[in-house]
Formats: sequence, C-alpha cells, structure tokens
Amino acid sequence: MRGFGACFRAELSDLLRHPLAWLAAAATAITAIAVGLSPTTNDHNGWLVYEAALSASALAAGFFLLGIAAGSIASDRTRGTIRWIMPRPIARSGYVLGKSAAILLLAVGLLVVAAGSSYLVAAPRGFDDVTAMSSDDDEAGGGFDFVEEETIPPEFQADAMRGYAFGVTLRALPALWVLAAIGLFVSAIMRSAAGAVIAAIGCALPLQFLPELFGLSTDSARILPQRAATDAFAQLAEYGQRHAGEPWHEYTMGAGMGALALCIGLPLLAALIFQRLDLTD
Amino acid sequence: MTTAAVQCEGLHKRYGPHEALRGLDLTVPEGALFGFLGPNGAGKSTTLRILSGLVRADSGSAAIFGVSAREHVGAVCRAAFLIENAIFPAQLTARRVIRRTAEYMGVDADETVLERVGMTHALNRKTGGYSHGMKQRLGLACTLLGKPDLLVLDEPQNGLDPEGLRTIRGILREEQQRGATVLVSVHRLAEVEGLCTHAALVIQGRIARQGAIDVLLGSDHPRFCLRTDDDARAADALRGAMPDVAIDNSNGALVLDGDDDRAAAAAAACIAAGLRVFEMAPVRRSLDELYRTEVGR
Repeated sequence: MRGFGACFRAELSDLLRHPLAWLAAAATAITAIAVGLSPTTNDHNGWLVYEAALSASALAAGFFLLGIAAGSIASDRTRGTIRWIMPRPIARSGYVLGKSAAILLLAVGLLVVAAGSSYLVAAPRGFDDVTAMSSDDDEAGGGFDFVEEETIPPEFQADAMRGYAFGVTLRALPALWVLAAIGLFVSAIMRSAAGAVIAAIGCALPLQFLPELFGLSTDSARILPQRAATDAFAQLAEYGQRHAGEPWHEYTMGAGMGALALCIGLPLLAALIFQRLDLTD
Repeated sequence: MTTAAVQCEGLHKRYGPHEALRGLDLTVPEGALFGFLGPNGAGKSTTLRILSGLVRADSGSAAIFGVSAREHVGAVCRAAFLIENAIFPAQLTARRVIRRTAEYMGVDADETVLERVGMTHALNRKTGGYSHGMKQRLGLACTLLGKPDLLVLDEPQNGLDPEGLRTIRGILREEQQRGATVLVSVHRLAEVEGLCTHAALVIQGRIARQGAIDVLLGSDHPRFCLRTDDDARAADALRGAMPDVAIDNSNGALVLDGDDDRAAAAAAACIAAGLRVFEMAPVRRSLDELYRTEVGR
C-alpha cells in the first residue's frame, strides 16, 4: 500500500483541476433544478420534488462518475504518464486504491451537490405532509395522477417523509460508488481510456436488470430501497415494524449490502489484477 | 569483489509471438557510467522497463543493489528512472511536477534540480506547452531528486538540442563523480565511447558483449598503425614477410592486426626493405566498428 496517500492526494488535486469534474457538478445541479422546475412536479409537495430531483441528478452524476473513473487509470497508460508515476517507490495497490479513494470522495462531493440543489429547488414547495401522492398511470401513458387522501397515512406525514428523503439520499451514495468502482475496475485492466469508458458503460447497464433476477419488476425494485432506507434511517418504529416482514425487505437490505461489497471489492480486485499487468502504453 | 548495482540473470520476456528477451544476463558494476547499446527492438527498453517495475519478466531475475527489482521499486528509493520519452500531466507546471515526484518518492522537493537541467525559465509554465526537449530535461530533473544511488535513463538525449546534449553529458558525469551508478540507453555510439566507462551491446534479446569500454575496444583484437615514406611498398614488403597478417592500407595508413611482437617484426621488415618508418602506434577499435561487427554476425 506504499504510495496510497501520495496517489490519493495527487488524484484529488487532478480531479479538482479537471474540467470534467466541474462539468459533472454543474450538470448534476442543472439536472436537479430542471427536474424541480419541471411542470410534471409543479404541484408536488417539497419532499416529492426533492426525491424526483435527487434521483435524476444522482443519475447524471453517476454517468459522469462512471466516465471519470473509467478514464482515471487507463488514461495514465494511454498518455504514458504511468511511466512517470510507477517507477517511483509506489506499490501498485497503493496507486489503484489511492485513485479509487479520491474518486469515491468525488462521488460524495457530487452527491452533496445533487442533494443541495434538490433541496434548494424543493424548499419553495414546503416540506409538509404529503396530501397527494403520485403513481404511474398506465392508461394515461405513464403520466402522473394525483389522488387526494382524506386521511394521511403515517408514511406520508412530514416526519416520515423527512426520513424517506434522507434514506433516498443515503441510498444514492452506494449506487454512485458502485458506478465509480465499475469504472475503476475496467480502467485498471484496459489500456485505452476511450475503450475503458465504453466498457464501463457496457458493464454498468446490466445492473439495471439485476432486480429481474430476483423476480421483481424494475419499478418495484426502484422503490424498495427507498422504503428500506426510510426504515433504517428515519427512526419510524411503527413504519419499520409494519414493513419489516415484507418479502422485499431482506432483498433491499441485501441489495444495499451487495452495493457496498461491490464498491469495496471491485477496487480491491482491480488492485490485485493490476499487480500482474505489464504497464505498457 | 565489486558490488553490482544492477544484476540481471536469464531474463526472458515475450510479447505475444515476439520474444523480446531471450535469456539476457547483464551486470552493471557500482559506480559505473554504463552505456546500454543495441539496434531497435533488441530488448533495451524491455530490460529497463523490467528494472523499473513497469513490466514483469516471464522468467529470470533482475536485481538492483541485490534486491529484486520488483520489490525494490515498491519499497525503497535508491534508484530513479526515466523510461523513454518523459510525459507529465499537461495541466501541471514544472514546479508542480517536481513537488509531486518528490511526494511520490518521499523526498524533499528540491527545485535546484531544475537549475541543473536549465529549466528555471519555465518553472511556472504548464508542461502541456513544453517542447519534447523540455519534457526530457524535466524528466531528467525528476530523476535527480533525492540523490539516487542508481539512475536508469532510457534514451534521455531524444529531442534535445546540442546545448541540451552538453547539459545531459555534464550531469551524467557529475552524478557518476558523486558516486552514483548510471545506466543509460544510448543510440549514438560516439557518445558512449567518449562518456561511458562500461557498455553492453544487446542483440536479439541477449547481451552480445559487455564490460569496460577499454576492454571492449582493445584487448581482444589488438591492432597497430604504421606510417612510412611509401605505404604501398611497405604493404608489399609486409605481405611478403608476414603473409598471415591482415593488412589494411585503404585509409592512408597501414593498419595491421597483431600484438606488440608483430608490430616490432613489421617495423623490422619495413626497415629491411629500405623504407623509413615515421610512426607506429596501437589502434583502438571504435565502438562503431564493434557494433557493426556484432550486429552483422
């Protein structure tokens, strides 16, 4: 692991100077604002606007993160700067994991941008109880319908929604980290930066379909981690008890753990494979 | 017994169907200024890449000061490398490159190395705008950080102007005088002959010849030069008196293969033929000649 700190600082410094990182932050913020101001979310409660804006902006951040991570190690090989770095007293594992840590930190930064922008755009709607909920309306081609609720269920009261929003935010972090980890893994084993970016996107796309393997529709899988996160972070005991026994609960927790395992395991695996490679450009 | 700064034994490396190294054995004595020669594709860069830890050998061993090159590069900082053309992140200035290199190496960021390579004028310019020669100078400056015991330089003269070549020659000599070992891959043979104390010639992935320059250029193939008042007559006289000796009178003087005894016999034969002998001196083989002989084999 020798050289971890030096490589981490160098990568972080490069990322802060890299136009792509700033473009990613700008695109993330713009996406959140655009979704928040979109007519489809115009009448929503602030919590729902926050969730919609955050989900979209985190997706934008994820794409950038995937590209940045996929280019990180491969571009050192493509440009030839690897010949400047690696003959120093730096362990290859230190190099890969140092870069990984910097990019995972960038993911945290982008999430802060996404959450901050989403909050700012949602705040004017007010963070009260949700008195109207949205759902997909197949007959109307997937648009939003609003169903007035006479009695507000506990999960749509402001406290529950606060936990829900917090859970949604936290849930996005392992998702971003997984994308970064996939990018880093591909970057470590490929010579070409462009090839690594394409391959990383190709590898990330099938993740969308993993829920199908568990017999769950993509839509339900999308909502489940949010509820699980609510359960975990909102301290809503009643809500938690009510949903703990549901069959998807274990799946969502499993998916969360799986995501964490991937974002730790993939850089480690990348470091292991990188040890054996000939670093030619 | 002299310690070897670099010791490679039986190095093999294959890139797909191409066998780059075929059992290369190399010994670089400590304190030497060692020229590493060979035609393109002979395996020089592959050897230096293995020493730098960039490439893994298929078999054989490579050691720096007795420590496996692989462990050496990852663990300690006694060697510095400039592998092929120096390339740096385009957005970094020379000053930042030096600082970052020092951080990678765990040594002080001593900016005086930039003075040594004549780069102080471009200290705060981004390397993306540098010429090839400027990048080479900066690459050399990076290798000087921390006063390494071994400098491994792969064609450092590439892209340098005459002033840059003089600078690099001066630095290599200074480093050797400081006590460092320098292993430098060079294409210009005359440069090696005038600069290096030792050399090795790589051909098709093996070392064809290696050792001290003086030994490589003289001891195994002694020759002497003879100048008389009539070289044509002298050549005839010598062919008669010494029919087994190779004589070359194509370059305005007689050059004969042979040791001191042969030289004395040749002088006697010329005098006996009524010729006046003006000069007789040993002829050192040029590196170019050695190179052409070995590569042509």
